[in-house]
Amino acid sequence: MTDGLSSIDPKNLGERLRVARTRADITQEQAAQIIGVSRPTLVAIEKGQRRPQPGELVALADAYNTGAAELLRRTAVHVDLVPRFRATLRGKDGPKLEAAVRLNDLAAAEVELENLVSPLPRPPIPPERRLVTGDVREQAEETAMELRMRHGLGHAPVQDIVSLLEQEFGVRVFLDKLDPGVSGLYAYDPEIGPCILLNSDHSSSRRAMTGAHELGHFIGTRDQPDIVYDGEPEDPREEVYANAFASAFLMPAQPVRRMFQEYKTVGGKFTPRHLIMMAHRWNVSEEAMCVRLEALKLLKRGTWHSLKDRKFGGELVREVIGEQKTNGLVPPRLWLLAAEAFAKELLTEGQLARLLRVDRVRLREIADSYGVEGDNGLDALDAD
Amino acid sequence: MASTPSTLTEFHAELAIDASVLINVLGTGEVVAVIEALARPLVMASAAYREVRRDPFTGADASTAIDELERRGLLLRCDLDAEGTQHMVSLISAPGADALDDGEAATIALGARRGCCVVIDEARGRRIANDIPISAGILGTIDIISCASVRQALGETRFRSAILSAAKCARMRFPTECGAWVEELLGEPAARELPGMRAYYRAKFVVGRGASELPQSETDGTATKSH
Repeated sequence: MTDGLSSIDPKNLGERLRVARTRADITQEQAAQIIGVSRPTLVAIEKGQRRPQPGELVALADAYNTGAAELLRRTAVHVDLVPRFRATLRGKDGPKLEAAVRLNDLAAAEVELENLVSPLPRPPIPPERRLVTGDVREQAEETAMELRMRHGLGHAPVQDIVSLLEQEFGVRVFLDKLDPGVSGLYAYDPEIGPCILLNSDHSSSRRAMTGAHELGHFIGTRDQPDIVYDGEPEDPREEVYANAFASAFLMPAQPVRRMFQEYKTVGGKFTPRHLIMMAHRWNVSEEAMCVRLEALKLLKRGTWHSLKDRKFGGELVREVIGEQKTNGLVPPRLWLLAAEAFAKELLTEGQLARLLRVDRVRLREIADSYGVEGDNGLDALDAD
Repeated sequence: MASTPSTLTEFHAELAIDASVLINVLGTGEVVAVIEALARPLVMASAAYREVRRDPFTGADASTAIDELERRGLLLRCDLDAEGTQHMVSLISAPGADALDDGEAATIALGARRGCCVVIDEARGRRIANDIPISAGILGTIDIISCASVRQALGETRFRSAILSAAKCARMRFPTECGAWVEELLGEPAARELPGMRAYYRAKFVVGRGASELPQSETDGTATKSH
């Protein structure tokens, strides 16, 4: 019996082992100890100069918290986004690193499934507009408007940021449960393109803001990965830019000004009810809309804080726009690909569950939701 | 005794079960009673064990339920020896359409090493196990949970409820050829609601539209049951 390892390119396998070890934050010394070899031997394995024994491979996979299949599957795609994040993180950034690893896994899974099922057409990605000296807020306003016009959005509200990012800007967008403090993150890889992960537990308006913020990074500071985390200062120029870009992109100045004036004219004054209606119209939170109106000098600075102090919120919002339905998540492209791969038996249940990092029952749920139909004859609606 | 699609016999003296199978059995909500009724040793490779993360019946971490099975001596967790590990790695690193995941490969390697019956639902796993071949036989979840001794031990009401629960909580897939049995047991309205019966009803629908024969299962359980 052969162990199958001899048919795998040792350099490729060594590189996969190195990536998995780095991701698990294990040193070469520690890894060498785990399999009872010297550090130079481990280095030789990672360089592809020595093939690992089957037992060594399984032990390393265990230690790296992955599976041997992950390292050996020939169709596996290895994406290396984590080190880019790690370079920007410090000691107690556990939730951020966890989110970075999740983004890495989801991106790798989508690329592998695309390769297996069928590559999906992607629009060309927009060119980078690097920040230049001067007021970054002005640059953000200008670029956001330019982008809106170029992509045919005009002055209309953004209804669905996920579809927009995917279909207009060629971004791989994922939604997943993240630490509550993490709103989302962004990274760019020249091979696989821009990737954004949004916290699925957050409201759709918050996700929209995060998505637009990360789009700002993609446009203005493409090579720098970014994590939106609660309570972090807006200090760096890049963050000021991304925040201003998000506001300008979701709430373009001209139509927002016009709507503000309309409400003010009709009612004689602009009230908290008008603020709620405007926020609802532009699919953003009341806070985001208020801050935008402050930035456009339509409301006084500090209005939002004052409203909060006066217990603005819940009941009045319900009174104005009714009970808001929680916005169902758009089925991510990844699930569709996974269900297709499952139905066509391109990967086994175990392989797919590992690839998507979900348990088996969740995988079956995904397959049932997005996969084959039963006996209702609604299989295919053929286009002309 | 009512009919059963199970092909489990005394010949299958020891069973090496895959993660997916244990998930389905846990989904019955009667895991202890089912395994006790089988009255034979069940073994599980460590790699497969690690893939059972959630008890689909309780929603809790599966390790509690599995620890209890081990404590009662109903399930034995096994590490593969060097030869078994080599076999497992060869199954994982096979070319695309023949490659398996860790748990599936470890289950087959364990069955081959111990000379015991492999219980696996995954179609690809069954085909590969069949090709090795596994001389002590290849079975699926349905063979375990529908066998006469389980039905007798649970009694009719609990038995029906266990099958329905496996289908709902674990989203168990039923092999197409067992669809009629499930339909008879649970009644057509309940059976039609189950995602794991889609392959069966889909096949029935195709036949209804004039296809000449029942297509093979799209999910699992169609591989030859070898003895």
